[in-house]
Amino acid sequence: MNNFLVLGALIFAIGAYGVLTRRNVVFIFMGLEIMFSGVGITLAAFAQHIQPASALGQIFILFILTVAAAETALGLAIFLRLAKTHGTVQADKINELKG
Amino acid sequence: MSLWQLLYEPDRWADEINKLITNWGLQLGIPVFITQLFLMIVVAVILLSFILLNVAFLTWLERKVAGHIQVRHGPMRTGPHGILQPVADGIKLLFKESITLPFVDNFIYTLSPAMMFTAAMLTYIVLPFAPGWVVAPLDYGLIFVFAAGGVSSFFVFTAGWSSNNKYSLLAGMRTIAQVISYEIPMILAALGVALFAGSLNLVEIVEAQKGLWNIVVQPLGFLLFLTAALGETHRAPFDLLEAEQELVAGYMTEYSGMRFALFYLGEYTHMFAAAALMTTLYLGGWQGPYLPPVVWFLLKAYALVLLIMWFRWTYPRIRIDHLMNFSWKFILPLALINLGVTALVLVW
Amino acid sequence: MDVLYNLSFWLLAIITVGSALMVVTLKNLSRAVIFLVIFFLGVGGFYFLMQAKFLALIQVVIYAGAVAVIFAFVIMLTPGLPGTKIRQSLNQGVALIITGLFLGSMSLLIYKQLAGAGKAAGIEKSLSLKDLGQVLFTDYLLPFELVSFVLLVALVGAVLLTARERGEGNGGLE
Repeated sequence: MNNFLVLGALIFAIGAYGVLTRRNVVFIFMGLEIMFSGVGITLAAFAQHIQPASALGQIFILFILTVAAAETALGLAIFLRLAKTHGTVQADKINELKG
Repeated sequence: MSLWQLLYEPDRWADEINKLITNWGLQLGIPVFITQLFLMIVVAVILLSFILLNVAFLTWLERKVAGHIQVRHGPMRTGPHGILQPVADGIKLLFKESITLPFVDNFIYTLSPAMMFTAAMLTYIVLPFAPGWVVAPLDYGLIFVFAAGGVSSFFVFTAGWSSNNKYSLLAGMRTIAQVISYEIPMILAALGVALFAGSLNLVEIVEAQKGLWNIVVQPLGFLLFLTAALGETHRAPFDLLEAEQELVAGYMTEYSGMRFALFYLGEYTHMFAAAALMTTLYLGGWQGPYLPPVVWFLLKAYALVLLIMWFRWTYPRIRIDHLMNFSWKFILPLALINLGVTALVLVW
Repeated sequence: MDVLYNLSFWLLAIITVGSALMVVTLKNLSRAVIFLVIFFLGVGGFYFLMQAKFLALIQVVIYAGAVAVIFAFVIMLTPGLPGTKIRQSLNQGVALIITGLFLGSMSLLIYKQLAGAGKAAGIEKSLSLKDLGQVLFTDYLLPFELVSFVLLVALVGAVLLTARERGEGNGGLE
């Protein structure tokens, strides 16, 4: 089980690195997805090794998956709108709330 | 082992060979998992050769069917009734120059046809060809088929995208919009069947149809699945994106030689997989009175394939926005109603 | 069987972590999306190894089949805007230090504190779909309904945000 947990932490760290260093907002979203997957792996590892008879772990991951997919879709839609009005895709240039 | 057992009870036969080889391996001191790996490789080779032969045969069949519907002979010169035409096509495509285009992202350009073909072939490993002749009787075989189909559709999009060509990009976008729009009613219609059988395992779904085929119990589901499968494998009448008169050749425009052959074969693989899935879900798989089970399976699958080909040369094409309207506003509500009525009937 | 389990674990780990690294370091957007799809397939493989078979397939269907398509569409709809061709990474040193610290502390915790927590069970019986469905629709019915509401909001919101105004002209797909 320890291998799985370290793997989950590693994937989460890689995703966090992506979110912190990228300028393009789409890359930031990709880093977010990687972080979600890392969390999912950690949860599944705990669910399998601590309490394999209960379905709670898998259901939790199912809900996280669904909400993450919905959030990604909506976030990318917002980003498309922002990119059109601000005229750029860089995260540090989109720094005005108006418009 | 008698001939009867060979033809009519293939599961016992496959089991016996499995045990024989494992014991022989254990006698020689080879660990069990290496003999199992060897057996897996043999089974994979058999499945691959079956798929490739079938797909090559299907390309010939398409041209013959097209010819006879249009009151002409199809290919007649290469071999008796043109049966060696796929061989001639294959040799021609192998020798064709693979044009390396400028400004094309070579990694994705080369990867897309390979991944699309691979993902289309992945669907065959859960189909039951005969009792016991399933490569992988997964417990969630039905969802596995749709997962593989979804992955293959993504690579259709990247093929159009990496071609550095406005028309390919447009066709790629429209193709993937069409494929994911028709994937949902397909899954819902198949779920109706899964509700009846009480499992997502394709082997159990076939065995649950022992007395009554599912097409009698779920006629609407069968029609919906047929339509959605036509939309998903982008066959006529939903093939606006690769028809010869529209958008050049769709997402395959910039591909030539062996890469184009991979796409072309991938489409036929996908079509035959959809037909085989339909016989498994609705027509009772390998069940039938007198002939061996494998023969029944192939007969039913080919009957559906002929039906699909008949559709192509009979109906006019549907425009892309009509197609999307049709899927979201007509097929999807019908699929939901089908699922709801099935669930209600089962609860009562 | 244990050999096969370990072999698949390490193979999947290399593929998954490799694709994740590629996603966060590549400059070319389209290649990053391809590696993202491979990453999702790898994570699906991990769920399979952990006996969550249904979850693995759902992960492939939703993520590799739909979310990756959303990413590809959005990348393709923002090609000409400024910012797509310049250097993509800032603050690399600081980010490396932060994530390295996180990873180091997690590994230390996992290998020291949790040394005896989990059973050494490798392959157990997995939950059947029937159990999952039963728990989902009886104990967790409220979260299920709420999640369906979230999906509805996301659907309507996405369509609303990207809909063309009346009379804006012919753009987009059709």
